[in-house]
Amino acid sequence: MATSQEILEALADYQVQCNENKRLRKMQRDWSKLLHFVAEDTGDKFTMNVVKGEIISFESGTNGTPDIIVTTTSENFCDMFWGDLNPSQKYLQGEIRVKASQEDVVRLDAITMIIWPDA
Amino acid sequence: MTELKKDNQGGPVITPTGLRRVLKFRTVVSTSTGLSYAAVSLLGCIQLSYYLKGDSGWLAILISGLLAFLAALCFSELNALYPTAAAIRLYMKEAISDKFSLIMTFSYILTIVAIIAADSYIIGKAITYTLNLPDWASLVWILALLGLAMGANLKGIKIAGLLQDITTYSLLSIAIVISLIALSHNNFQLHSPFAAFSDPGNLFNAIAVGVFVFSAFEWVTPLSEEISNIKLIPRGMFVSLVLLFVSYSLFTVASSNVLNVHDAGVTNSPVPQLLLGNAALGQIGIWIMLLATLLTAVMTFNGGFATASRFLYAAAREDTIPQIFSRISISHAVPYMSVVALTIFSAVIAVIVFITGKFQILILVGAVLEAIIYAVAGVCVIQLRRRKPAAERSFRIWGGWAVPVATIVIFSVLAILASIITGTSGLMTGTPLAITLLIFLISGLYVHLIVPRLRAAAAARRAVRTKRRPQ
Repeated sequence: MATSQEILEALADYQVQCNENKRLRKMQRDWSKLLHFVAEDTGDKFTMNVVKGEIISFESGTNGTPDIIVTTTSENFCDMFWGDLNPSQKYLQGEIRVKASQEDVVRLDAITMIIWPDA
Repeated sequence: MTELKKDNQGGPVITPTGLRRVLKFRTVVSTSTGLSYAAVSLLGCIQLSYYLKGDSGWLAILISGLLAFLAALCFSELNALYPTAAAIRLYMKEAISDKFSLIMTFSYILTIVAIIAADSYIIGKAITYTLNLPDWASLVWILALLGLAMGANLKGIKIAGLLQDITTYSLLSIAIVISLIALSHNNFQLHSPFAAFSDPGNLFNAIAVGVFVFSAFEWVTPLSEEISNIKLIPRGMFVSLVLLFVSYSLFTVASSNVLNVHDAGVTNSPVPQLLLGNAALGQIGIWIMLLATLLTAVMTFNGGFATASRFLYAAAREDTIPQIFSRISISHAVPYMSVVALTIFSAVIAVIVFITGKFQILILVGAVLEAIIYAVAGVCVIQLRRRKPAAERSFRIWGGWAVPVATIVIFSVLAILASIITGTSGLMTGTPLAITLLIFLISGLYVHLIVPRLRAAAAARRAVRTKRRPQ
């Protein structure tokens, strides 16, 4: 199981990768969402705030009313934020569960695909 | 906003419940209804009434609706177990096997493509008929409509929420009102409304076609991820089936009452809904039913394209079809290659139907495929109850195995029936069977021969990739 600190480190790198990718920023230019991540094995929760495609902040705990809720294991979160995991495959296997509109589900997966196309 | 539960192993299971925006029940109902209410469904109503005497087509619609209710129960339990847009792929894989799941998923996509093709053909014909244009103009309209749908989907334009509700409920209202007006011409006097019972053989044939008329209501299950209460999905499907029954049965009875549904001019017409509109209110009725037909197009092209393109995108992301179909448009975050491929595929089928005039074959093949899918859903319920007996299900069908077994048996029989009848198409007996077998053969060969190679290539690509996560 990944610790909360490991996930936060992964999120920090994920923030940099997302914000510095011009193609991604262009695609997400009109995408502003509040995301909650819930690690089902450890109970750890995280909040990420995206404003016009830029990850403004992330933190431990769940704050606000989310637009998107992603639930999976702590290990999957770590791997996903480091780009070592294909979220679509895990989603289709039922290991990652998302509560969001279908467009947001595609956009979430597209983030990984654009930054790490070989994942 | 979250509640703690224990999973089957005693560990914590966090179930988040609050989304900023959730879909309302009326949208669940309108989505389920709208996805089923394709223009080709109205032709299906005429096709099934061809088999029956008098104004008894409503009986076939009623029985088909009740059978669809059985399928809805199965999908409700499966959806409760896997409340995700990937449900169909997931529960078939968990219940039977990954390869079987892939074969059925590809067949499902093909059903969607067939409906898109059929609707573009019907709408093209409807516009040509209304504007009194030469027949070749239909082909122009067909391609123009598909092009327009492709363009809208590539731009990420989506009909959702309130607009979806208005579209669906307007369509239902129009169909019901026009049908009632048509019936009023004969003072609501029905001819032999129970005649179907005197010819059980043809009644079964009509029910087999009726399966197609209700099909696609279950495509509402992907909305599970956008609602707060998963039980809204089964409730929505049940309400949708009632609304569909009312609308379809009134349309069918009105058509048999004021038109001659045993005349080739009606049964082979791609625009019987306009003929009914004409019978009800003359030229104004034609325009009103053209509007209704266009509303069905909105829902088919909106929902069908979106569903199928996401299926293809997901399939490419899990390396079961070439990666090119996972390409995302940077401008609009849309899987554009999937949308384009769907358009081309639909256009090819629509052009073939235009040239041959054999739209009935789409209805029959669609009926076979949907009946098979519903039978498989019953199998999945039983298998998953055996393999995951303790898994949490917010919805569980009462009566033990009775409903899933009935679903399997009845829809298997209906699939066989639909595969050997030819209706008014003039095709050789067994043509739907041959086409269905060909679909499964191609799909099966692809899954067995091509998918392993695609996956092996993807695995090889990932094997040389250095992990980024610090060890």
